[in-house]
Amino acid sequence: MYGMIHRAARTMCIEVLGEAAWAELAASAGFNESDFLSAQVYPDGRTMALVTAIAAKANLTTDQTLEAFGRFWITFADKSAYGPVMRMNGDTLAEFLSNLDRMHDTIQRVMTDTRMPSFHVEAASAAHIDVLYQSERTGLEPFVCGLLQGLMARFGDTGEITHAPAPDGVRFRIAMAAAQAA
Amino acid sequence: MLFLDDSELDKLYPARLVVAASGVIEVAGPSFRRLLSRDIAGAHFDDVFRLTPRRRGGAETFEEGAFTTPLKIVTRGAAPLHFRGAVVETHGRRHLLLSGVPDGSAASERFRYGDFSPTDGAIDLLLAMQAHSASLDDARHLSEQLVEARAAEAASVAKSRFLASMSHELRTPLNAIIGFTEIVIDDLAEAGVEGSTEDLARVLRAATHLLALVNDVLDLAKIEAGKMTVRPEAMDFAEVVSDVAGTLGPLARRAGNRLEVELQAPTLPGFSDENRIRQCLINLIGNALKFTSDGKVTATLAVETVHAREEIVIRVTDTGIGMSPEQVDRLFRPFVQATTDIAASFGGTGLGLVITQESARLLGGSVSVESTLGVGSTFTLRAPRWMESNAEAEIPQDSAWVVA
Repeated sequence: MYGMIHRAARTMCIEVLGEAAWAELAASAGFNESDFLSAQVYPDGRTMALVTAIAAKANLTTDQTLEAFGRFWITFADKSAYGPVMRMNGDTLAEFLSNLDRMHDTIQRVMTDTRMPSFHVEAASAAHIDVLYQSERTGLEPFVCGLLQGLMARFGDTGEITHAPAPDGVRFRIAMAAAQAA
Repeated sequence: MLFLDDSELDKLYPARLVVAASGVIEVAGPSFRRLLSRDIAGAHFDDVFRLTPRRRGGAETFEEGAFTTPLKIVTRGAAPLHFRGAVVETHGRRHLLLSGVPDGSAASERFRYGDFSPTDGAIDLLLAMQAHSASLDDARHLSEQLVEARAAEAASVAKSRFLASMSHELRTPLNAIIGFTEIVIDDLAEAGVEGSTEDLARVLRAATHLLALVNDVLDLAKIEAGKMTVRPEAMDFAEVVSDVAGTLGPLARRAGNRLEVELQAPTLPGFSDENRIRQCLINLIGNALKFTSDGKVTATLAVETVHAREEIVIRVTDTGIGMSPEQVDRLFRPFVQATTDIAASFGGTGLGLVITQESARLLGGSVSVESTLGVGSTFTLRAPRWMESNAEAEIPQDSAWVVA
């Protein structure tokens, strides 16, 4: 995965666990400045080693850490150099999700070594949004859950996220809380 | 001939205008409706936009072929938005087919992906600019770190050289003072002169203490320069522990302390650097005695097998003043003693434990500490009983500043 993901993981660790915990983790897991170059693409194993080390330090499971990281990623990306691109992606959750593939396509043109997932909005209404998630990678559903939670918070939405495997990927459903109550 | 209706044109060119010959806007694409928060159909073009660069003339300005370079328009008012495109006349209508021009400014952040034709690469360009900007930031940050690291390294080397040379310059006259004082004391004793020997003995003790401090500084300089080495040889750990305890016996008695030695076996042969082990023990037992009065210091020696490797384990336990967790945290930092009060009350450079820790590391071992404030401390030195024989390394003698 690309270095910005690593940077976000480092920032999350520092914000949540503190500088000292990060320094200890980085020293024991062998991470240095060269692992955090924004536009560099790193082997997935390296990224997962980072997530696993943070999980161990935070006393969380890897899935819990991935989910927390997904939520954190949204605020991190908003504050990063890519903030303007994030804002261009849409003013509502449905619009943002609908434009994600285009944003990822754009990123892929710039960073040709990246392997971006696809998020296809299959249905969007006031009650729920169905998103088909497709990726070459497996096991990142908790991360996607966290991303969707982060996006809901970004747009001031609340609701419940569920997901189920589908023949062509993983189908996520966001049931909007306001619609549920209505 | 391909004919597209308005909804199809909206998809292809969300930022499009149809402008009548009078200059009145007949149709505005969905982007303009969203960006300007109103429907501008029916408004005069000049009231909403201006051409850039400015041109004389009215609506005829938009005749097809009038623009040899792309048509560029800007919204009027604060935070203008820039658009670029071409004029196309078809079926009696004058179309301005436009694209937003995002430039990274706050104003252009009002654009959304949906404002751009799917075939428009403007956003790709914007993102590429941001990615390159982020890469440049990384490169700048790394090069600053490199410069700082090199400066720190150079300063460290300079400091180590200075310390090493100064230590050498100090040791030579100190050794002369110590040596000649001993000779004078002996001569006076032989001549039966009384009265001055006690004063000379004080000079000797002070000079010997000063020499020990200078040696500490020299050792630290070697550690920081990466020149501290070990020379393993056949040795007896039990003999070294007993010997050091014997040497420090008078120091223990002066403070009313009992110094006890507990050996797992009367002899414990091994292969290590005897001088480094001895230095570690002098520091650890010496410290324990320094911070204990009318109490007990116990040095125990045992062998433990850890991961199929035999380790000698020397524990020095005292019933002294002990330390708080915060004090323990600062313990192994150079020039830092547990508190400034301690430095004032007990003296010393604060280098002993740093040197001991580094010596233990060079021996392939470690030093750890457990302590309770007001109760006492236990320092544990671990080192392999049998060092690899190829661990020996000579201090490079061609190095101008090495003064071992």
